[in-house]
Formats: sequence, structure tokens, C-alpha cells
Amino acid sequence: MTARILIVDDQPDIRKLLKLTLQHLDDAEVHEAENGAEGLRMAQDIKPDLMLLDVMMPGALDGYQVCEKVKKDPELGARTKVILLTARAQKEDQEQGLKAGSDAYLTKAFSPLKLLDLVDNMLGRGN
Amino acid sequence: MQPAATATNPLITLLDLVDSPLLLFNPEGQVVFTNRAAKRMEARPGMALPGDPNVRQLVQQIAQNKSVLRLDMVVEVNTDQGTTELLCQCIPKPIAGLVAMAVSLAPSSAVVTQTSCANGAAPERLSLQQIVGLIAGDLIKPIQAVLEHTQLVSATHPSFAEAVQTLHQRLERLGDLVAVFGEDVLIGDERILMPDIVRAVCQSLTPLARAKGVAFILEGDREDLPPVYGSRKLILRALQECLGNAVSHARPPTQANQSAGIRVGFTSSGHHLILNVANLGVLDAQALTRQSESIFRAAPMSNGHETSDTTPAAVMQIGLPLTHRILELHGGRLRIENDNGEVDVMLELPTGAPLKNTHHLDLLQAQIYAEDLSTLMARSRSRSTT
Repeated sequence: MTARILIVDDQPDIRKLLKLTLQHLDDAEVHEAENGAEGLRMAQDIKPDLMLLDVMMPGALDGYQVCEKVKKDPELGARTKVILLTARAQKEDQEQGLKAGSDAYLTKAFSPLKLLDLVDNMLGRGN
Repeated sequence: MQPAATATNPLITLLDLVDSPLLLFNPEGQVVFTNRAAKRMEARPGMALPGDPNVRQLVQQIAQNKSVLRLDMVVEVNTDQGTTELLCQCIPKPIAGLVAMAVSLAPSSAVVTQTSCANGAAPERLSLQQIVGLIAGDLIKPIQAVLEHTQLVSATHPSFAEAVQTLHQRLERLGDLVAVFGEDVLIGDERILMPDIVRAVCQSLTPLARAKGVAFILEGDREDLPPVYGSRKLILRALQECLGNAVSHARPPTQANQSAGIRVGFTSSGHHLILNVANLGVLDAQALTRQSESIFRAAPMSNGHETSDTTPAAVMQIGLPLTHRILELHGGRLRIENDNGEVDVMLELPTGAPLKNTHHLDLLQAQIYAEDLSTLMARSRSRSTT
């Protein structure tokens, strides 16, 4: 079954980099949003299986806030896995991510192989 | 010129997206790929580096999987503007038979300083921050000792205790001033919820507000306001200066049932969070209550002593440029509007990642991608054959 993945990041180059990396997945449909509010709207619309969410985004919602709203959404909460992607590597940042309900936390700079493995794992396709 | 197979490979496109200049060498030491960032460099590393015998030797050793002691080297290249030094950092193992190298301008001045220190000579010149760091290190212990003793005599000598406290606050403020005007300003990426920090500042200003008969009114301090990212300590300092100044300039009430109101309004607009600090003038108790349910009222006066930190000129001389600079460092700005004598102060702070040099992260990301490149290529190949 085709997996729907939503990338939410304000940096276009990072979105491209993630999209190119995700091309190595079998059966995946990748969508993009450039800020938290747009990401949340798109998530409610396309109901993704997985979201790759940047933490420090400008606008009305940052990554933690989007994650919290997704996880509290009755339609998305159970089905949408969330990977927070951030340069913030402190323990308390990761705790904040878990508090927001994220399923995984990937620190930048990240390995594309690790990202693909994590995504496969989140989508239940792990070996 | 780049070989067609390399140029059309989508994985090579990944390297083109990386902000750091990157080169790929074949085992003979010839450049077979130059990414977009490297092509933009004035020093033209793709043309200049293959001609350097040390670069060629290093590339050949890595291509042959020989262990090398140092993977980085500084290479001098000629440009239109003269000579430039490039720092060349290689990935330790070949990737699909190619050797990846990240290139950046060499931090020549740092090298000179390190060399002179290593030789035992005094560094050429200390930065302002280094000087203040030394002074702070020298003063911290005696100041702490004075503060401890002051606590013991605060009941019998309240004005002395207050003077010492004020002196301590002024020294801290000078430290913050130097921190933001120094040569190498570091802004953090702490997640800051502005309503929380404003409440903390209002509480810290309680003695001054109480003495002036001032009450703070917070408006729009919703929990779902976007956070800002940066230095909590410096944002706290900017707000202390701004609100402290507003309290100092508030018109004192003339009647017992009145307070001077200072409104702090929060607005989220586009990519910015805006704090509006306005002096509402003198209001009676009922009007103050009507203004907002989230009113922060100063605690009742207990000992009748006024703080000495009320000289508007003293507050403004350092406070205004300090606040300006802190907001500027966070990518924000300070706007002051004077409408019929009523001063309206707007503090604008961007939401999202702080403005800073992410070169190190980009370089690291490039290195990690380069290291994973051959495995990704193998994945691609196995996918296309099945």
C-alpha cells in the first residue's frame, strides 16, 4: 500500500534533500508544506501515515505545537506517526518532543540511511 | 567538465543542494564533480586544487584505502584578488571509487593566534569579551561574598542592602551589554514562551512597580502563541529594560484607589510575535479590572522603601541601545511610536530558527551524505534491477 508522507520544513533546500532521500522508498507519496499552519492543514486534508516535522519553524506554530495538535486530532492522532527533525540536540529538547507526542526525534545533521531506516520502521516496513 | 553518468545521477543532485562547497575526485586526483556552492567560490577550487601535489597525494592515498594521519590541509590558491588559503577536508573512505572533499576558506587569523600561543608568546590582542570574561572571573567571588554579608544585615541596614543589590544588578547589566556588543556574539536556540517570560519580568519589577503605584495588564497572552528561539537570558534582559523603563516613566497616581496602568499586548503576525508595551495612564481600580482578566497587579507595599533604580536617564542610556541590539541579534526590531505624548513601544521578534551561521552543520551534513552515498547508490541500483 502506498504510504503518504508529509514533509514540513521552512527551508526549501532541506525539503528537497528529504524528498530526494525519500525517493529511495518503495511505494511512497511525498507531500510538502513550508510552515506549521500549512502542514497542519495539509495533514488534516491528506491524512498522512508519517510526518517529518522541523522544530524551529517561523509562523503561528512551531514543530512541537504542530505535533501536539496532530496527536490530539481524533482522526490523525492514532494513524499519523511523527518524526521531529531538528538541530536541537539537548536532552530536554528530546523530552519536549516526547511530551508533544512525537514518535521519533532525529537530530540534524542526519544520515540519509538512518532516516530511511527510521521511516521504514515507522511505516511498519522494517526488516 | 563532468562525466554524464555523474551529472545525471539524482544522488549527486543531493550534493548540489548542500550549502557547503564539495568536490569529488577520481583516484587519479582529477575533479569529476563540483557542487553548486563550490562553483560559486571565487577561489575556484575545482580548477585550483587538482594542480596541488599534496592534494593529489592525499586523494590517491584515500582512494587506495590507505590510512592517512590528517584528512584536512590548508592549500594556498591564486584568485583574481590575490592569494587565498582554502581549508580542504576529505572524507576518510572512497565512495563508489571517488574521494569527497569539503572546501572552505581557511580561518587564517585563528591559525596565527594558535601558533603564537603555542610558542609561549602572549596572544596579539584579547577580544572585548575575553577581557570582560577575565574581569568577571576576578569579581564574581568577592561580589558573592558581599551579597551574602548583605543578607545578614538587610534587616538592620535596609538602604545599604538595597544599594548593594542595585550595584549587583548594574554589574550584571554591564555584563549583558558587553555580551551583545562583543565581537563574537553567541545567540542560543532556547525555546522561549514569551508570556511566561513577561510574567517573570513583571514579578521581578514588583518592588519598583509597587513604589510607583503601577499595575501591569497582560493582553492576548494565550497559551498557543508561537514561541521564539534565542537566548532566554538576553530576551529577559531586553524585557527588563523595556518594562523597567515604562514603570519609571509612568505618571504616578494621585488618589489611593488609582493605579498607573502599563499594558503588555501580545500579537502573532505572520512570522513575527509582537509585544506592545503602552502606558495607559492613570486608571481607577474598576477600569483596571475591566481592562483585562489576566491583570498582574503589583503586591501591596510592605516597607515603604522605594528602589533607587528610578532615574530615567540612567535607565535609558544603556537600556535602549541594549534592547535594540538584543532584538536585532534575534532578527527582530524595536519600534517606538509617540502618539500625542503617549509612548507606544513595539518589540518584534521572529518566530522560527534563530539567525546564525549554520556552516558547520551544513558541512557535517555534507560529510554524512557523502559517507552514505555509495550505500544509497547500491540501494538505487538494486531497486532499479528488481
